[in-house]
Amino acid sequence: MKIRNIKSILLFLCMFLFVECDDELDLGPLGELNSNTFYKTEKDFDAASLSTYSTLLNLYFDQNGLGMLRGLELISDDVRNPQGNNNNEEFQWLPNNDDYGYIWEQCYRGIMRANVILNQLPEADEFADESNKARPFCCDRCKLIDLGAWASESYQIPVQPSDEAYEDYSSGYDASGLSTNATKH
Amino acid sequence: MLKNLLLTILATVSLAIASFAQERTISGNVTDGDNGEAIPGVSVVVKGTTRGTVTNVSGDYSIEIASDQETLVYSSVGYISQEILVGSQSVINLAMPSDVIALGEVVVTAYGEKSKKLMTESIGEVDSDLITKLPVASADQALAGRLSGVQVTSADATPGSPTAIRIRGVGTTGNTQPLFVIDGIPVGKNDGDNPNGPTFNPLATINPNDIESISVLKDASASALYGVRAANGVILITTKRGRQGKPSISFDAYYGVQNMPDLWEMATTDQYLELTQEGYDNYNTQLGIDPSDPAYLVLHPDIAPGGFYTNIQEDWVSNAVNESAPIQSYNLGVNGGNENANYFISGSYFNQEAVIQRYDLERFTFRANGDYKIGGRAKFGNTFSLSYTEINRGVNAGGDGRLLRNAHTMPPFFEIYDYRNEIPGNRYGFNGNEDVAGLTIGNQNGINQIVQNIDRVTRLLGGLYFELELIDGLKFKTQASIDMDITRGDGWTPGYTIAELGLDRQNQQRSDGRGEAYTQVFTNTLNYRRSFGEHNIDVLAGMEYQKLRGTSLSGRTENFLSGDPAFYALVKNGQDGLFLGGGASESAFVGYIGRVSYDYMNKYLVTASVRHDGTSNFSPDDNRRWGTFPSVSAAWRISEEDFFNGVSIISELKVRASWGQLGNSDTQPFPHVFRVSPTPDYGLNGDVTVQAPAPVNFVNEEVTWETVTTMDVGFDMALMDDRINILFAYYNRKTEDFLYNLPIPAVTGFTTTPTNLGEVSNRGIELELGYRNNFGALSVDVSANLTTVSNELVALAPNIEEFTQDEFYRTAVGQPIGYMYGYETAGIYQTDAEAANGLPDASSPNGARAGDVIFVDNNGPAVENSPPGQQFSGQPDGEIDFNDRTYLGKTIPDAYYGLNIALGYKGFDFSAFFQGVAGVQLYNDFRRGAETMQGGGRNLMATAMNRWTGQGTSNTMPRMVQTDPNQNNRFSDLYVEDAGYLKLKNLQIGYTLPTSLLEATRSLTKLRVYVAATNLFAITDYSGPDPEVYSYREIRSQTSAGTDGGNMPIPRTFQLGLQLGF
Repeated sequence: MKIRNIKSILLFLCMFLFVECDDELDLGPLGELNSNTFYKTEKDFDAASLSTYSTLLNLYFDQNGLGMLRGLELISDDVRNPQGNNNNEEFQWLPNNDDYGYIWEQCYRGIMRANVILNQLPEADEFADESNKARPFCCDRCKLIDLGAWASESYQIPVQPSDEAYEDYSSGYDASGLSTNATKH
Repeated sequence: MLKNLLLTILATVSLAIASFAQERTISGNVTDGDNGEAIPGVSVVVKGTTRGTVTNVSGDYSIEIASDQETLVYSSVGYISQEILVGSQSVINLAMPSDVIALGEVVVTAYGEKSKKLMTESIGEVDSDLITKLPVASADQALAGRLSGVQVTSADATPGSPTAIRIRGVGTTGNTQPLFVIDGIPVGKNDGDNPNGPTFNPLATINPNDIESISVLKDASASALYGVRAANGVILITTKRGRQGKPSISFDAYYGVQNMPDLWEMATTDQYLELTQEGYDNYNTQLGIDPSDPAYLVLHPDIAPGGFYTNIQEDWVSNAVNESAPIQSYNLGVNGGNENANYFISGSYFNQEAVIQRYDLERFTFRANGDYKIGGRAKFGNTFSLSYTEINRGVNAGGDGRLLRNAHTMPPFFEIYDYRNEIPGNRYGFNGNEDVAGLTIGNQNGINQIVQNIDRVTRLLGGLYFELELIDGLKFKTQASIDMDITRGDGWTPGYTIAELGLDRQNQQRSDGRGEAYTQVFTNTLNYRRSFGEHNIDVLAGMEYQKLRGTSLSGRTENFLSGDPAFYALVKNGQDGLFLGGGASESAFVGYIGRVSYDYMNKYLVTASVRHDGTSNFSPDDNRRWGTFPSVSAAWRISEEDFFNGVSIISELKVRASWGQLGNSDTQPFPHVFRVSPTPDYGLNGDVTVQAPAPVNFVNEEVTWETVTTMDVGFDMALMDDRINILFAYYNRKTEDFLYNLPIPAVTGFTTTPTNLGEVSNRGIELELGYRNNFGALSVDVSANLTTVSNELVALAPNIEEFTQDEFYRTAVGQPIGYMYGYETAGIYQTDAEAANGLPDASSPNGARAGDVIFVDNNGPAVENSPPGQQFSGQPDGEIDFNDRTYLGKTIPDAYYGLNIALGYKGFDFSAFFQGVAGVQLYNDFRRGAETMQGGGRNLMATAMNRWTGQGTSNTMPRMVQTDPNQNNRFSDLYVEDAGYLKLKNLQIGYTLPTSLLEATRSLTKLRVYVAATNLFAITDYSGPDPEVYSYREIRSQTSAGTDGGNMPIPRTFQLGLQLGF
């Protein structure tokens, strides 16, 4: 009888060792930020807003030749005897032209970063001063007014109608034809 | 009453006298039933008691018995146990029959052991004898060619080099390494933690002499108990444990000498000059440049006829090679025990110098394994091993071939040392060859001697277990283990100038990195074994929890006041350029295990198992981090059937089949987490850097692990009393959702997101043959194995053809993973007229000339109304461009095989081991770099002398012409070579002293000496030094596996060894 009791106690104890450990699986990447720990405070957004501009750096401080070099330099006169893959005749900046894919990629990346900021801003809950969310505007209302003004094209820079602008050059370059009211772009 | 008392006294006394008379000593001698030799260490125990003894060196024993009715039990490993009733005998001599079948009868399986005959799964096993045959730092290298279904390729011959292991083909485009389990502790995929790829083999920290056996679990039924990480197979390593008997000490040592095989042959200075002049001439002619034009190419005055350097011929390669590099190993092991406890203790020292200058690996290990019984039902034990491995090196890091390739391609007139003391302020005595012939190339031979890098790993691997038999047949076992790695890597570069060493690194630099990684495993299992008449059942249920954590921290500074090692030992003493790095990671696994094995009459066998696994890697929603991996296997031992009794030639015939599913969770970690990373920093105004955190992944919550469904069917047959063994299996593995980076529209701001979409298929056969027999005193043991693999990427996402593509490899639907992809050639243009008729070539705007390579127009871009996703039209389009690239070769072999012949004759033993691979190609990157057919820079191979020089002179090698206007050097079939080989991997001859001679020493039980040669020769078509090569740092996956970038070839080793037993 005694032995039986001991055995059943032991068996019972064994069950406890088969406890569920599901909670132990709730882990995340270390040394990184994520949607729970970032995009919360004003400082976060200050830092994040720089990231949209860094994509512009990839285009202008060209490290791999795929940005400004290919997009602007190669199509200019500042190049002699292009060889190999840079022998592009038409320089079409279209997405299906592999040579310019990088430029499109970087631009979309910057747009994505800006969109993420705009998306996360309303939900940020650790701002000391909520009106700072509308920076550089003083408040949300002013920001909306400005957006409306932009949408109704009141910020458009005046430009001459296109047929007039090209008229000067369609028949060849003639210095006397240059007007002092040259269009500003 | 007095009568009763008297009778009782009489009875007691007579009983006492009787028993006294019966207490006596039995003695005798135990010999081997086959050859009559005495067997030491045989356990002689009185049955049912704990009284026992062991035979001595001469096989003699003596034991006290209490009565004639006692039975003596004689037992020893490798012999069939004998029980003898004492009766009236006083001397019992015994000839013990050897149990050939018993040897290796038990195979280590997942969470237990199984008798080989009753196995339904597909498991291959290699035992300790074969593991220690090759002089290698890590045990996995000893597996090559030993088992069917297992392909092992070292990245190269650097000591401790990482190894790529492929079990039954390649199941995924991601990490395709198998799971390693050491003494029940899953230690990962043996690929290190470096995100850029492994440079060191973690298994090199384990002493191969400590290993009892390595089991490779090949099919789902065997591996299903490792669930979510077993998709690529499992390698179980079991270390030695103690055995009952008096303590036996073994000492194994060997000393070997390694030498380089034949290396690449490079051009001499005269040849270099001839080729360069020709390249210049052809360039000037083609571009029509006038000699008065500054663009006209001429030899630099240093190397023009009469120039100072035209008479210099320097041998950089011999200077970089470490001829006769030693390799040595010393191992001491003690094992022993009694009925209640046993122990195994070992210590070892291993040292290997590479055959290249300055790469030494040194390792110290200690191990203590023990098992202890408590009463009749409980048992506990421990496994403990501690090792320290240190690599002292110069510039080479784990097979990057930097030094070897560099030494070969140095211009032959560059000098290694500053022979004439011309360099002012030269601190090191080397020559930077600054501006010699207008070139400046780093003197890596010299840099290799002055930089100092030390990599260290301290590893603690061990655990405790406790086992209790609750009721008859039901055992409970709990085990807690840890694998702890403490690493440190430090480096020192003294400053040097271009004049001194050809590179400008004026700042002294010191780096020091530390890392700590540990894995904790807790396993609890319940195992019930019972026989009900002819029904045998074995049930296993269990649970396992594993936590992994790693952190690293590194610092780097520049400019020290003193170059004294005692000073720069502290990184913080650097004055500027502080750079900090680090990393951290953690993950966990939880698994529930269940297995039922049932057999009826040991004839009809079936095993079903399931594992329910969870991993922290994936999303908790929708149970996406949990999976269930079932498997089933069955076998029928036809030879046990009644209708089979007449067939005496077949002693064993078993057909078996299995099916199951396994997972691979080693894909993208945390793809469901919206991750924001603060690196890279954003630079403001040049000097100031700020952190600009940005999102780094396109979240996909649905990502989960890859699932492999495998089935196999086959038979095991033994003929003629187990003298001939045949094993055959057909396998079919299908991965149905391997992780694939799906390209997404660029408007998302990302280029790809991970999804589970692809399908890969691996099929083939495995064949193993064995023959064992004794012809008088000659024993013969031959074993061979062959595996075929047919690998194909079956599908990706709908309408997508291609998985990945780079300059050399492509992985696409309908082809094996990671095949070579480049231009096809059709000879050389022999005349300018022929060249002028060539097709327009996007890489050659000036058009081809005589002597240029003819590239084939195979294909064009998809036409206007093609189905979406189609990349190519399939028809030549009249233009040579990147669309014309095609299949040039593959890195997954058609077949691989091994053959082992072992002979024994009166104390002599001989073994020869061949290993080979067929139907595989390599990209000879070294040759492509050294046959650029442009002179005036790094040296070219001597084969460049076979270049085209006029009509009909060559149809395989183009002309020398500076700047290569036709891009003849582009990646094409000219640089992809057949790399199948057959190697004599190991040849060993040994002699074991007969025990009769050893008796005189009264302590030695075994003495064996042997000589061995490794990698004696290779039969291959490959032009490089060694066809056994894997791309540097790429062993995890198969997508770009076959690049020989000047990897260090496996050396020829001659070794002398000694084995002693006490």
